[in-house]
This record gives sequence, C-alpha cells and structure tokens, in this order.
Amino acid sequence: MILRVSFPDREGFRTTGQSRKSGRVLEQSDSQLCEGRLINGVRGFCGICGIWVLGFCAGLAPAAMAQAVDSAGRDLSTLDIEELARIKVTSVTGRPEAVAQASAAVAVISREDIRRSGAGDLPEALRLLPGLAAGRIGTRDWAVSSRGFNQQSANKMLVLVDGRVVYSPIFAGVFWDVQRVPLEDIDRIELIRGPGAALWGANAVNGVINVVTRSAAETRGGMATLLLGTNDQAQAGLRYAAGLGSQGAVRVYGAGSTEGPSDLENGASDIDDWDLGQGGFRADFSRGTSQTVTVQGDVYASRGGQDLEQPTPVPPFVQAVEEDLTAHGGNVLGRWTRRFSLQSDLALQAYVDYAARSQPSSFGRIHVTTFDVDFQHHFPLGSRQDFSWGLEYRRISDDISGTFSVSFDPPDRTVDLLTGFVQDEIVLAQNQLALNLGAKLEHNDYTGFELQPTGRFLWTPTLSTSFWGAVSRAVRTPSRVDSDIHIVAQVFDAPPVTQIVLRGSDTLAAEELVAYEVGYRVVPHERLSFDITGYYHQYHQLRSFTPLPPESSGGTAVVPFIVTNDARAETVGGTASLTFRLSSSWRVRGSYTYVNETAGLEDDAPPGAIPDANPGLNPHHQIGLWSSLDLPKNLELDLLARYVSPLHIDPPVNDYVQADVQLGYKIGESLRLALIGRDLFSPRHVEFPRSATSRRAIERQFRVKGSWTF
Amino acid sequence: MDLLTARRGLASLIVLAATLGMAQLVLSQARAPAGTGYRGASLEYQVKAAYLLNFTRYVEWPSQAFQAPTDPVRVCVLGRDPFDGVLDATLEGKTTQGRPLALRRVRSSADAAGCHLVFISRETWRTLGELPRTLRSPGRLTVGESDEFAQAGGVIGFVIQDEAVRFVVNAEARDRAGLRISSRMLSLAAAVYGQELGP
Repeated sequence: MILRVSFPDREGFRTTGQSRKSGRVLEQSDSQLCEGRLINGVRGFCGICGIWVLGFCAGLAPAAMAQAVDSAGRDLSTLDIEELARIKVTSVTGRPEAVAQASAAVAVISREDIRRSGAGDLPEALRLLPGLAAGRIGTRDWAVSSRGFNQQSANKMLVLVDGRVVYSPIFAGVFWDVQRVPLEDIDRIELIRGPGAALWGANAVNGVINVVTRSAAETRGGMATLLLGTNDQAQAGLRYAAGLGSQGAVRVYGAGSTEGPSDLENGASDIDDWDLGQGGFRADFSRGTSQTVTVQGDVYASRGGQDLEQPTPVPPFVQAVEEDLTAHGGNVLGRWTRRFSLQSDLALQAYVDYAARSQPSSFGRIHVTTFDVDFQHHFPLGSRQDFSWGLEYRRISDDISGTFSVSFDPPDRTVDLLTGFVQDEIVLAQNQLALNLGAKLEHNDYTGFELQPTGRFLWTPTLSTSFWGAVSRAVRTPSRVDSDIHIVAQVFDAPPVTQIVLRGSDTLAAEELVAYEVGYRVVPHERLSFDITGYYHQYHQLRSFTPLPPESSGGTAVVPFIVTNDARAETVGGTASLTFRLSSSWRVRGSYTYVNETAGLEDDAPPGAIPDANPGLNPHHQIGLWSSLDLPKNLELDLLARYVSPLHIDPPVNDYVQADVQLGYKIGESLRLALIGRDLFSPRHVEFPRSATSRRAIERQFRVKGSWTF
Repeated sequence: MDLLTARRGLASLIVLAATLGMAQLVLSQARAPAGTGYRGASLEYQVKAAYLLNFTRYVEWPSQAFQAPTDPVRVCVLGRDPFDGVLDATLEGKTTQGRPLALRRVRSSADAAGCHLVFISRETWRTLGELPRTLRSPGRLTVGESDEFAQAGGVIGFVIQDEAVRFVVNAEARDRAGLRISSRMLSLAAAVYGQELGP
C-alpha cells in the first residue's frame, strides 16, 4: 500500500507526496479515474489507503465531429488556455471511462454527490458509500461499519478527517454526534472496505473512512447555507475564504444545527434532541511548486438528552434517569509537504485534539487529549520499485470521572503509540502486473509490538479490466474500555444484594484478523462501469467475557466477569456496484452488499465464556439505487432508494425499503434551492436498535435547503 | 416493516421510476449495439485539441528546429489517434507564430523525426511504457495524457482536475528539449515539476 498521491488533486499536484492521511483514492465516484497513474510501472497511486493504483484511461473517442464547439456554441479552437481549463469535461457526456486501478475495495463520493443526495450531515452522507452499513439509531446516534461487526460502538473502523483520527480512544468507536464536518467544505469521502492496517495501523481492521475537506483556495469567497426541516430541524452555516499573500489562502467558518427528538416505535417522542455549534479555519500556503503548508482547526460544543436505566447500589436497584449530554472539543493540525524531485517527497504532519464529553448518569465526564506527529518519505528504488516508509508517534491522555455503574481503573491514563511502516511497489510486468508489499510495526502500551503485513497484486490485462487480490493481517489493539473498565451491569436482592460486574483486563491480547480479498473491475462500455469484490475474514482473539468465582464484600455478593480474548468469528461477503451513464444528463448507480458473520468461542475458551459479538446486527443484504437526472431549466432530480434486510436479533428489526428525493434548483450563478424528502416510504421505521430492549424510530422528513455564494 | 410493506415500497419505487420514463430509457440504451458510441466527439478530446493549438502558440522552439521561416509547425499523433478527426478540424487553416500548422500521424517514434509537437495517447503510452530516446531529442514538445507521463520525462501531461482538462509541465524535460514556454502558459499549469523553488 502506498501513500504517495500523484492524483491531480485540487490541493494541488503539489501535494504529491502527501501522506496517506490526506491521500486520495484513485477514483472519484464513478468516472473520474485516476489520471494516468502508472507508468513505468507503478508509480502513481492515488491512494487513500495508499493503495496503489495503476490507472490509465481508455482513450476511446467517439465519432468525429467537424467542428468542436462547447455547450455555449463557441468554437473551442478559438478559446485560450484559461477558458479551456474551465470547461467541465467529466460532467458532460463523452468522458471515456477507465477502469479503476486499486488493489483494494475502494469507494469514493464527491462533493457533488453529497450535494445532490440531500444528505444533511456527515453520517447521512456516509450512507452513499457502497458496502458501508450505516444504520441510524435516533436523532443523534448512528451505527457505522463495513464488513460486519456493526453496533453503535462499532470498534473496527478507522475514521479520519483530513488525516486526524476521530474515533475515541476510550472505546475505539466514533461519537458520530460531534463529527459533523460542514458538508459544503468536504471535497470527498473515501472508503476502503477491509483492512488498511499495513499502512494506517491499528483499528483499520474492517475499513477506513477518510473525509477530505477542500483547500482554502478552492472555497474563495463566501457561502451561506440554511436548512429547515420537519422534526424541528434547522441548520445554518457561513464560511468565507480569501487569499493570503501571493500563494496562500485562508477560510473561516461557523455552523449551527439543531434537531428534535426521534420517535419511539409507538409514536411517542423520545428525548434525544440535539444541538451543535462549531467553527473553524483552514489556511493553505505554497512555496514554489515544491512545498505546501496547511494549518487548520475546529472547535465545537454540543448538547442533547437521553433516558436510560441505571443500576443503583441500594433499593430500588434500578432507576430510570434522564441525562443531559454535553460535549465540546477542538483540534489544530499542521501539515508540511516537500517535493525533492520528481519521484521523491516527504510529508510531516502533527495535530492536537481535545475532546470532552459529559454523560453524568452513564459514565460521568471524559476528557481526552491526543497528540500525534507523523512523518512519511517516498522515493524510487531502481526503475521498477517504488518505496515508502514512515514513522508516527501518538500520545493519548485521558481522565474519566465515572459513575457507580461505569468507572475506569485507573481513572486517568496516558498511553503512547509508536509505529513505523514500509511499503514497496514492484512492477513485475510493465503495465500489466504489479505487486505491493507492506507492513506496519507498532508498539502500544497494552499489547507491546504488533506486526500488520499485507501482500497485494493488481493484474490489468486490458485497459478496461483489472483483477486484484490481497492477503492481510490486521489487529484491533485494546482500548481503555477493554483494559480498565469496571461496569456494574445489574444489582438485585437475591438475597443477599448481588452485583453482576464486568472488569477490564490488562493482560488482553489484540484482536486479530486475517483477511483474504479479491476484486474485479470492468468498463464494458464507455457509459458503464462495474466493480465487484469478495472477501473472507477470519477473526481470532475477539473480545469475550469470562466469569470469575463469586466474591463477597461487606455483605454484598459480587458475580464478576472479566474481559478476555476467547471469541472467534468469520465473515464472508462482497459488494457489487454499477454506474450507468444513460445520457449526459442522467446517471444511475446501484450497489448490492452481502455479509454473513458467524461468531463463537475459540476451542480452548474457558467454561462459561460469552463471546462479545452480535452477528444478527448485520443485515445480510443491502441494495442501493440512485438516479441523478439533470432536468431543463436548471433543475436536478435525485432519487435514492435503499433496501436493508432484517436484523436477526430478538425481537428482530424488520427489513425496510426507503427512499430519499431531492429536487434542486439553481437560480443564477449564486443561489441554490433544494426540496428534500427523506425516508418517504413510511411515517417511521426502525433502522438500528439502541439496545436489546430499546429502539427508536426514524421519521419521514421533509427539508428545504438554500445556499448562497458571494 | 413487514415483507408485505417492503414489497409495497418496492412497487411504488418502480412506479416512480416508470413515471420518469426510466424503464423505457434503460431498455432502449441496453439495446443500442455496443461500439456505436454516441453522437458527437468526446468533449474531452475537443478540449485537448484546442489545448494543442494553444501550446503551439505559447511554446518557442529552438531556431534550428525549423529550416525556413515559412516551415510549418508539425503536430504529430504517435500511434493510436483518439481525436477522431477533431484535431484535424481544430488545426485546419490556423497559423501559429506566423507559420502554418501541419498534422501528421506517425506509427513509430522513429517516424516522428520531423515533428515539433508529438501527442502520445494513453493507449500508445501504455504500449510504450517509457519515453523513447528519439522523442527526448531537442526541439520536440511531447504531450501525453497523464501526470505520470510528465514525470517520466514527457514535457506536458494532460490531467483531469476538478472535472476539467488541465496540464502539468516537466521543466527538466522542457529544458532538455531546448523549449521555452511562456510564463503565462506556465502560470496556468496545474503543476510544474522539476523547477527550482520560487522566491
């Protein structure tokens, strides 16, 4: 896997040599393929996950035309370079498609995709990525994972925003309610399904989601957005970007959003309403064409509510409480890239992230500070090899106040993570066959050294077909929850008063995955592209809970369970996706995802152990369809439908078909209006359970959105 | 939602699609014989052809590249020609720097001896794998269709950026070929490789 980015990025070619962290996947949604990546072999990869990419594009030009004119009827041969550079060629018919060339399962959605989908926030936009399961739990909460293992605290995904890790190191999952990057500032969202650990490190087990924002220079000028929707939804945003010196630009933004609570299944209202305010900046500078510097940062504050049942040490032993959630935080990131020569470059990035969250009844207050510095270097080795290496250091300090039911021992902790990776791309047959070997070695405070290697190949027999395959090992290292948690799960008067508790363990091993993947891509016709991937994942040493002998303290009986590594699982599945450009104004996309997860205990598991797995939370089948139609008079119509098969839990979550519609209208050059309908097929439906006994319903919703650029 | 409701949902989706004429269109497209392509040249190549014309105006060749003041600027397409006639139409009757333009199609790099500008399509580049020595000789402006092409020693590589056709320049290759490219054109490049750091 690789990190060099030679994709003609908007952030500039200058970022070539930029890291995997802000790398780019080769392929923009459907057709903006990688522009000529591979040449004497394998240079060029546009790589999100650094997956290298041989990209070439089928230069199939259709029938001749005597006079080349643009849509305005101008003779193109009379235009100057500056005017030519403004003509959009890919959004218009006639863009020859090339087959995407990455040796991994990748998907990308662009800014334009997000805008047209009617998505209102980041998690809604994630749903557009083929192969990702994104189930909405309520107004605020989501369960997002690829290739199984989904739950609200899904812990096997690596999620990055501009190279900054945003999953919480406390439980290795993401608090989606505070990850709300303004959609207008997003350039693209990249997804790698499957392990990306050899490049990205621990936690990139089942997938990597990379949100990349636009550079300040790309957003010059101002933009104001306003969204109003049913369920008391409102969002407002304002941003402004201006040039700074001769080769720099800076952007500032502020945004606020609020939404009312979701419904319960019976139609009554829950109390999970939610408000968020955030603001930030991004500044980009370049020096010549060889150096770029980016500095960016955000701050946010949010509040919401939820009800829950908590155990108490004294009668009544269980109590229904309503709690106010609050969260705030901020981050600052700097990145410097330097290009030494045509094939050699390096990147240095550092950031500080602070996240605070208060849920007084669930776990008290959490403060987490993360500091990360990352260095990468890339250069050629002879004419057929392309070599990359890098080092990263991360320090995470936290402090958790805890409650009776959930506490951590010790309550504050600082952990260090040191990682290094190497990656080599080797061309075996020019433009035909290439091999990619890489490994990441990391040292963490919980399990010591972990090695995460990968081997990948890409075979491109013709310009329009490619096959790839990969074998990788990835691990999820323990988080604070695994190591240090103390949960009082239940209290009852047996008698005597008995507590069932769960304790973390500091002798845990990392959860381990060995993944086998294959993929095939073909562009059978210039209007059609097809991509299919399949995988078999074998997991060992997964989290389980093992009972210990009962204890007694001060007249209270304690039945303890401890976190162990005695579960195993297998998943098999795949994703097929298709893009069909029926005409210059109409594009249809479809995808199908299958996953089957089975989980159990390792053969040598101690008696009484319980696997911490719930395969039933993964729908076996997901189907998505998306029609994007440009209508006359500056109108756009997008229809999105999705089918999700039942969740086989007790009681089951029924399967559902839902549709979203957006009708967009552009008034002049600066004003856009959109009418949006979400989840139209039923007044309310359940997507993903909140807990075994509690589930919320997602309501049908209507929104109006306007945006004005100035 | 039970299965029945799900089916109803699917049914209404199909109705929705049919209302928009989706079903028929899908069918009619599916029946179109493969390979017939679509009407009109690819916009991408129309734009690239116009770029090539512009390049001849912004690039200064060494004086020994021409034998007489009235010699044409020879634009050559090496190997497969993706322009499908558009380039002929674009260059026809045009002049550049007081010289007429001549378009030739050449089969091999050896045949490109008299060419001032050599365009190498993606597919040709794929078969070549690297830039032939004869094309690196002075007085030859090589134009390919990728960033990679420029990095591998070509002078100019077309790239797609922000859905538009842009280009990158390899300044080392430019200097080796003894070409001068106007600063205006350079300022419009998406990137210039191999150039000393600016101030």
